Parts: sequence; structure tokens; C-alpha cells
Amino acid sequence: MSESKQTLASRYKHYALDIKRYYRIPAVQKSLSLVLSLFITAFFIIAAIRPTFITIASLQKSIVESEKVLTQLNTKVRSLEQAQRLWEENMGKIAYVDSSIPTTKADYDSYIKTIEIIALESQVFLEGTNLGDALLYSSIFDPYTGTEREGITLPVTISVSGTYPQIIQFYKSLTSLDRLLDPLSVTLATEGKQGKEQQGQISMSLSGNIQYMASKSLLEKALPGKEKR
Amino acid sequence: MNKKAGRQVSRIYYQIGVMTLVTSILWVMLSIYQAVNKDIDVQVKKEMLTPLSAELDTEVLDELVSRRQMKVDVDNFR
Repeated sequence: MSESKQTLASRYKHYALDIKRYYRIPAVQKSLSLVLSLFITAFFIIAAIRPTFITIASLQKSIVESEKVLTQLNTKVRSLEQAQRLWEENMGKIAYVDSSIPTTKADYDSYIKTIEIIALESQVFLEGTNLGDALLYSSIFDPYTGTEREGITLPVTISVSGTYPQIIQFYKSLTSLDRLLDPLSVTLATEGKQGKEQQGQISMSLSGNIQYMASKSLLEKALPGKEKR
Repeated sequence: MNKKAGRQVSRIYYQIGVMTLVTSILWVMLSIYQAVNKDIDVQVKKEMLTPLSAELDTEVLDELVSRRQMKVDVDNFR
């Protein structure tokens, strides 16, 4: 047993010496300058070439992204030019939009007076007009200015009585006004609200919505509990 | 004549040098790949890039123009 171990040890020693001798053979060895060249090349690749290549790749990527942004901006510029052209062409008509949906006030009084004028023209009896809540004036804040305005719905209920042609005339005039009215329901009855049944007289109750532009958040402060659509 | 010039070193240093060179080249390639695939945020406000629809429904405008215009002077109405 010990003899075989000694044999193995001597064999190992023999081969180890052989390997050491093998590596000392000039044909197996490499030039120091070659090995140093490899290390120096690797060092410069890591220290100089790598940052340079990363910078080049980043710049190329940045150029590609910038070209994409430039394309989007050019598209937007063309859209803005077209929008400006359309604006200039239709500038005279913009005032009609403001009268359809007021942007600086609810225009309460004017609308009620307009209804009265139409009722007079149509020769109907205006029994009542009811408009929903709106802020007419506030010294604390102004919901009718600023860029956060949106369409606020103002419910309207109008009751008139008259003959059928007069009622039809009133309805047509009301729905062809510059102030846009969205009629939701129309109720016709043969008896007036006063309870007086007259010959050929009918009454009409119209419910609908008109719109104006205002800041919803400021209006909710002024009119708490009133749900605005 | 056959004797090599200069100092000689063991082959293992040569192998380490080659591995170092290969590793550094691979590192450079990996770094370039990462740089190319990295998201670059161009400093432009998002509002400027939001597409703008430059279309105007002129038919609606014409419809509004054709409606009856009533300018009521509330103060002098009565």
C-alpha cells in the first residue's frame, strides 16, 4: 500500500518536473513584448476606445430621436399654419360662436329679454320662464375668465299659451335663435295654467338646455350643491 | 539563428493576455449595445409634441351665421 503511494508520488514528481522542464523550453514560451502588447491593447480598448464608442453610439441615438422630434414638430408647425389660415378665413364668424355659447358671462338677462321679444312677436302669452342657477356676479373670483373654462349647461323651462299657429311660430323662433337651445321636452295642453279654458287656446311647456362657458371648479365654489354638467 | 530574440515568458501569461483582450472587446460591444438601446429623453415639452387637429367644421359656422341674430340691449330694453 505504502509502496504504491511512493510509486505514485515519484511518478507525480517525475511528471511535474517534466512539465516544468516543458515550460522552460524556448519553443513553448512566448515573447514578453507580445504578452505586454496584448495587455496594453486591452487596457486602451477599455480606457479609451470604449468611452469613445459609447459616446458615438449615444450621439447617434440622440440624433435619431431628435430627428423624430423634429418631424413631429414640423407636422405641428404645418398644422398650426393651417389652423392660422382657417382662423383668418373664419375670423368674422367667431363672434357668432360667442353669441351661441357665451364665453364671458351666463347672459341671463339678455336671453330672458329675447324670449319676451319672441313671445311678443309670436303673440303668445308668456306664462313663465325659469332658468337654472348661474353666477351673475362675484367680487371674489371670476369663473368667466381663464383657460380652464368648459361648457356649463343651464336648464331652461318656458311656459307659453296661445293658439296653435302662434305656439308653433314661437317654438320655431326660439329654436332658430343665435343662442343655441337644446329642447329636451315639449308638453302641449289644451288648458292654460290659470285654469281658464279658452276657445282654441293651448299651452306649451318647453324644457331644454342652453350652454355657457365658465370654470366648473369656481362655479362649484360659488354654487355649492348644484351639480353642473 | 533559431534562437528567439528578447525575454521569454510562460505561455500562461500569453493566454491570460488573449483572454483579457477578448473580454475587453466583448465589454466594448456590450456597452455599445446598451448605449444604442438606451432611451434618450429629448428635452421638449410634451405640449409642443401633442398633435393638433387643424380642422374646422365650417358648415357649423355657416349654420350659426344663418341663425337669427338678436342683440338685446338689456339696459335700454324697457
